[in-house]
Amino acid sequence: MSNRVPVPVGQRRLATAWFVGSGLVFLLLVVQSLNEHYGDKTSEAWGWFLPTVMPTLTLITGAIAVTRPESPATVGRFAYHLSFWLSVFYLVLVIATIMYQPFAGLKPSEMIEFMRTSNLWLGAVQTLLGISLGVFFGTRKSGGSAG
Amino acid sequence: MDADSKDNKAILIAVLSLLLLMVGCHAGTPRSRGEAAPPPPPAAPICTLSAEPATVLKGQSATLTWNSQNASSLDLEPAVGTVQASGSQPVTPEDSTVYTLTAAGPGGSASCTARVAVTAPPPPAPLERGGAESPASEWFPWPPPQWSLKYLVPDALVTEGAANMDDARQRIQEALRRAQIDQWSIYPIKGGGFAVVGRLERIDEEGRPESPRFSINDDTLTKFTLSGYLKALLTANPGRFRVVALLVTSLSVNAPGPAPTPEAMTHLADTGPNTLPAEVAAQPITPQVKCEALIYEFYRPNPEADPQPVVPSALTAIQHLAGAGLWTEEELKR
Repeated sequence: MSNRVPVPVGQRRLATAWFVGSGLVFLLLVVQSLNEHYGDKTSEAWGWFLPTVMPTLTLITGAIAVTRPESPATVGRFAYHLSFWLSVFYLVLVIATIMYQPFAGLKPSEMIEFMRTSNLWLGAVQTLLGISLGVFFGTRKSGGSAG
Repeated sequence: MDADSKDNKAILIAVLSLLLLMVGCHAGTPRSRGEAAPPPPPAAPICTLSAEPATVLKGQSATLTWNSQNASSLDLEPAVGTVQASGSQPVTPEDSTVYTLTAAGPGGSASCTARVAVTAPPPPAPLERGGAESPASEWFPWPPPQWSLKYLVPDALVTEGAANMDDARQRIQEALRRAQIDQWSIYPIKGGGFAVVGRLERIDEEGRPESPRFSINDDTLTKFTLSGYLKALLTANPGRFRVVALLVTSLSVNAPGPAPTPEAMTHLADTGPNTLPAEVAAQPITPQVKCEALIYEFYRPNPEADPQPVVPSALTAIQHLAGAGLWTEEELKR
């Protein structure tokens, strides 16, 4: 089994995870906003969501945009797996932050407070994720065939 | 090294720089670089705010207590303004109020909240003490508070065949047991008869009890259902509440009194006696004695709003009484 993964393939999988995960949170927030779930604190909820997912999403989208689909570049399998599963873990934490709220019976102001508190652990995981994405892109080799 | 490879390297460097910049900027993200570390950023402000007691009667005061760290300015709103780093302040809000303490400092800002719930004073009880003829207790408010719906319960369910008020009381208590309404109060009615006031319960849009049934302030999802979860997750989580009062009297129930608050109705249901004074229990049931059901419905658009009376209810009285489980629709339509 090759210990390297083609860059376009790794990027596509990462992008899929990020678009599905953040898309789900985005849709949840749209429905919640339309139904006034956060009362007069809707903008605070979006203020939590956007910096939580947009930087990484922008990074991955930008990287895909400048990588040719037929690029022969490869990245280390470990770096790819680390980035992918840390991404999944991070997105699960983001989704859980919203989906946990009904079990706690939080009022709108308490929901926003809980979202702000979640930045403590989301920030920690996002830092690890940033490092792993750096390794993912950093271990890229041009022209190397898999194997 | 070909042109493509050079391009890719340049892009890689740009992307990594952007990534480092974004991760570094993320709120609450610790930075850790070994060499030539920049001076540590100013610590973020931290604050706590609490209200004691969290619920007061209208006109009474609660004390707000706060504490903060790393803040250069603190603003407590509404109505208080700039405050010191820690302290306490009595407040007397007119209505339920969420107080927000905003702490700002070189390290950013933070806010914390505390809610003071203001409840209406208890209903004007005791309206009259019983004295020798009425040894027990308080009277039911008369005229009754403004109801959402009124319904004449069929005689067959309460008064028909009953020899006296105590027989009628037993039938009503049986209905309350069937409905699993385990808390209620009985008040004599000045002028003859009695009223049973059931506990305030949370209901759905069809008038059926909803979990948590007997809590007005706690919205915690105690019993998991998919529809209940999705409602709590996706909507503003509005709340509907109901109190049913059953009056057995020969008096006509026509002119309502002032609109009640949920707190006043809860007080009426929870703090009254559970037994009828002997002389009221012994009053005979004449053909003029009827059982009137008064339904009090309240609606709260979101958990931070105060429930308001719904007059009239969008549901029918039969939907309410059958939804509560007191009697079946067939029994009520008989």
